[in-house]
Amino acid sequence: MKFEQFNDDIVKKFTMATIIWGIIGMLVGVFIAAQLAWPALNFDIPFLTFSRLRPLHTNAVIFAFGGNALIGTSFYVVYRTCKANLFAPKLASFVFWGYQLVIVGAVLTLPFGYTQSREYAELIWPIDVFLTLVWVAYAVVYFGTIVKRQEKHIYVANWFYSAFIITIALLHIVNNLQIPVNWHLSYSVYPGAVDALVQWWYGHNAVGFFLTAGFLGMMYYFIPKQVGKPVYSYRLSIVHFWALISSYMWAGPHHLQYTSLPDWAQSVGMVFSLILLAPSWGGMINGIMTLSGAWHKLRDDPIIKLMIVSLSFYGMSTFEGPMMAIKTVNALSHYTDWTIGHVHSGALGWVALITVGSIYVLIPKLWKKEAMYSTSLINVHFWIATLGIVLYIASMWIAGVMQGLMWRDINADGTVVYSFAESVKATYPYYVARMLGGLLFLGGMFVMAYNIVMTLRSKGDAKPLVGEAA
Amino acid sequence: MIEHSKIEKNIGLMGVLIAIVVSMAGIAEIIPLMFQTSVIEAHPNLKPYTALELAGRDVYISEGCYNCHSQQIRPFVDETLRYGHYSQANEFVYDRPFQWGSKRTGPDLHRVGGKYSDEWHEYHLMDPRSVVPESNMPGYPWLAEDLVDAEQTAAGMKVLHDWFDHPYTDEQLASAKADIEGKTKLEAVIAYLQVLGTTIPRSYK
Amino acid sequence: MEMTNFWSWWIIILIVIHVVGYALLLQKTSKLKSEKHKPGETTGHTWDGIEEYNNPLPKWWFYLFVLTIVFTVGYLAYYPGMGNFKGVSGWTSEKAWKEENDAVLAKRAELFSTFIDKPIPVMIKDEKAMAIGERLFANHCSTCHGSDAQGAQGFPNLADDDWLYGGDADTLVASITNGRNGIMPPWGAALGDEGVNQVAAYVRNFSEEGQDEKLVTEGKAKFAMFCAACHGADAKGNHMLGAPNLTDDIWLHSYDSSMLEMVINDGISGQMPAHNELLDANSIKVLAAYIYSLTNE
Repeated sequence: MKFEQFNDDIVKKFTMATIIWGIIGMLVGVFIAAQLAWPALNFDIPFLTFSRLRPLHTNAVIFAFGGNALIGTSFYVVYRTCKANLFAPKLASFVFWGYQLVIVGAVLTLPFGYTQSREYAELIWPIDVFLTLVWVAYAVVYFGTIVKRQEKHIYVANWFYSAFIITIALLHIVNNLQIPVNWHLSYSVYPGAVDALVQWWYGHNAVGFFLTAGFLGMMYYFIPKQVGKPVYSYRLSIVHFWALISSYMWAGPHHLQYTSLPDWAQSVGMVFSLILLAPSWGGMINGIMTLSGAWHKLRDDPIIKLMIVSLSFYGMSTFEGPMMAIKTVNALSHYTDWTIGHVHSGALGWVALITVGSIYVLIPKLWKKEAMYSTSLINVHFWIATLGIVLYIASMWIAGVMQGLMWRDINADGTVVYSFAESVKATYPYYVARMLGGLLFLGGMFVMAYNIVMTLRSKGDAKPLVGEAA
Repeated sequence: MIEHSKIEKNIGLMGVLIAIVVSMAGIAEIIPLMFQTSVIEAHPNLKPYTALELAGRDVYISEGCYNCHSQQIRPFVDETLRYGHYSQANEFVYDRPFQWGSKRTGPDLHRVGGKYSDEWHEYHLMDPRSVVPESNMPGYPWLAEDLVDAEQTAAGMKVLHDWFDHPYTDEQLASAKADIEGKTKLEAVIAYLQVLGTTIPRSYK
Repeated sequence: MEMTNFWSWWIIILIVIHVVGYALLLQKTSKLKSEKHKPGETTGHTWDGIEEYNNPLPKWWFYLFVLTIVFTVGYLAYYPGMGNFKGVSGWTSEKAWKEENDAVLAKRAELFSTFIDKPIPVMIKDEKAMAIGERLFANHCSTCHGSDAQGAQGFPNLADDDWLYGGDADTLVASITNGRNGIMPPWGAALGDEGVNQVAAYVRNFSEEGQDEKLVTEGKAKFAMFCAACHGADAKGNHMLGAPNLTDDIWLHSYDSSMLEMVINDGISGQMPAHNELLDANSIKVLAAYIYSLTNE
């Protein structure tokens, strides 16, 4: 049927966009990682300078890679689990092209110095306004499809996607309230310290809802689907869903520990970050325990391996997060590369791995192929990606703890032991190691791209390469 | 769970409940902060940025300095020894957007004002490793050639004055454009750096 | 209080509602014994082939959640968090800093007490004082003057005998405390291109033989007229004004290529920031002693 074809076609587009933007975003990431180790790579060229490219990297991997993955899979999941065609197909097409336009807008503005300087919300106000329209259209398509559903109950994956869509709209609008000065410059309506809290309420929940709730939605569909077993616990879903979306929103002030933000707000941010631990782990338990009784699949199916390792990284970083929110730990970790390591254990370990796992499931289904071209290449991807992540986060942990300790070291005479420059000098080797870790991960993406191209070129009966178990 | 199955079968109800649940934290944390005097009232010595400083601040933002430099000194002895007096909320009231940052690839800049000479900043911004060999900061040589957008800064000051009551005098607003016409971005950003954190003495002795 | 009671209660009530809410949600969900679904039985719904079990909440997870809630209650009782309620401990980040800072200052005062009253020329014999001075120098001076104190273009060498403002103990203390503002005005307009070249030749002649005789002679006359007021008739500089000695081969701004001409033509300024805000008088004294020790034994 025409409509059914459309459902898959739009998801195909988002899937392709995910892969392409993912590679571009990570390429920029590797490049700026190299700049930190070898600053000559800035070339004194404005649009190749670290400080202008870093926002391009974060926006590309979060919103272009992650965003396309989330919108695409949410469409796939919602029409499959609701047994309904996507609502308003034309609007869905607008969501795709509009969203790509926003990303192109980012590419054309951020490297050229047009920015709001709000982390992960750097896009200038005209793009923000357009993104709001695209997002409303997305909500209409998504919720319209749910309204049309044939199943009375709404599946848990859709709870998470729903929370993601609604909350991102709220965060985006509140954080971007600005008075324009001209077509690209605008000033925030919030003064100093209030602005800081609004931004980190946004920033933390961009992680919470874009990179967590949305991807939990993905997880709740693709893991039971690939494993072929029921989700572990419905009631665990309920309690962890509501507790997660509620407590995440409170945790923003932990990004501002020991700053000029009043003490009360810092404490509140800290305790809610700790409360967040159990709800976060609820998702991990539900995903991993879905495999109970079928653990052997972990050995045979590299896609399941990707997904389960991604949940392990999710569990690890959602443990690390609350720990880093504790004031005494934060006093050491904040402002150091430890934070960067933490973010990447979540972003590479959790978000990227669950995404590539889901893509490996989706590609053959969408393009009506029997299977991916090569299972061994998926295995290769899994191993170099995991190795890359470990190298990345280990080097950033060591660097971060080292920086924190060097900065706080005081002599008996009341002088600091190390100048700031000495801490920079000591970090160089770790910047090199981190760059290599990123490079490995990027290499995995290229392996995936090759595997996908070969899958699409096969004639519907793609035979796995050697090494594939029956 | 009977109650929950009701929510599960009604997307309107579920959507509304999600919206309420996720709004609560902002209502509890952000809104009271907007009424807390220590946060919203300016320090008596705090002055709004002059035209040149504001132009420099926009350069600072545009170049993305916040990616590697914080402007927020925490109340720890090592930080107050290294950078000067810890930051206070009432010093940032005219900061829109705030520039506290989240990462110190380079040192904190909140009280960098007056710490180095203009000449040092010039050398350092042109070629950081000429003065700090260990530095991994990029050079920004184009700042010496590019001129500030005087019209934009004048319009920006007007927005800050008209919308947010930043206490500019009529003369300041009227002469803003002429004051900075022909100045380089380098001069502007150095002027901004030199005023940072100078509202209160850098250190209690 | 800086926050009204209204807003304080606003915060408290919302926090309490949430913390109690999590506890209730957890308790209600866990209480649902498997009355409806037996273990191994799904909830009966299917979505695109996906089903759900309804296993009980894992015990360890349940208690982990409870633990964080209990911790929250305790923490918010002990530390500030509930609006205006200060917490039983009375802890604030400012107080914590002050205690820490007082301890550091007391320790430093004790350490300083053995040498701080000595005059600088004597203090340089004190190894402990010099070790401290070296660290102060590394923290506060080396960014401009270099970690070896040998300076860089535009930043004076502090390890040689050539001083802009003088290298005696009192002057060093004054330079660090209040900073210095050296201004050489532009002379291009007064001298003209030719005049600039002549003066430059005259100045170069002190440290490099073989300048054009005619230029040097002309330059000498112009120097007397325009430059001698600050740099002295003998061009040996003036410490009162921070005017450099031009007869030695020590150049603050390098005289290579056309730099010398440029400086005469456009003028140049050099600024040493005041450090009286960042350093206390005792630290400045120790620092001055360290710098003094570089050129005095």
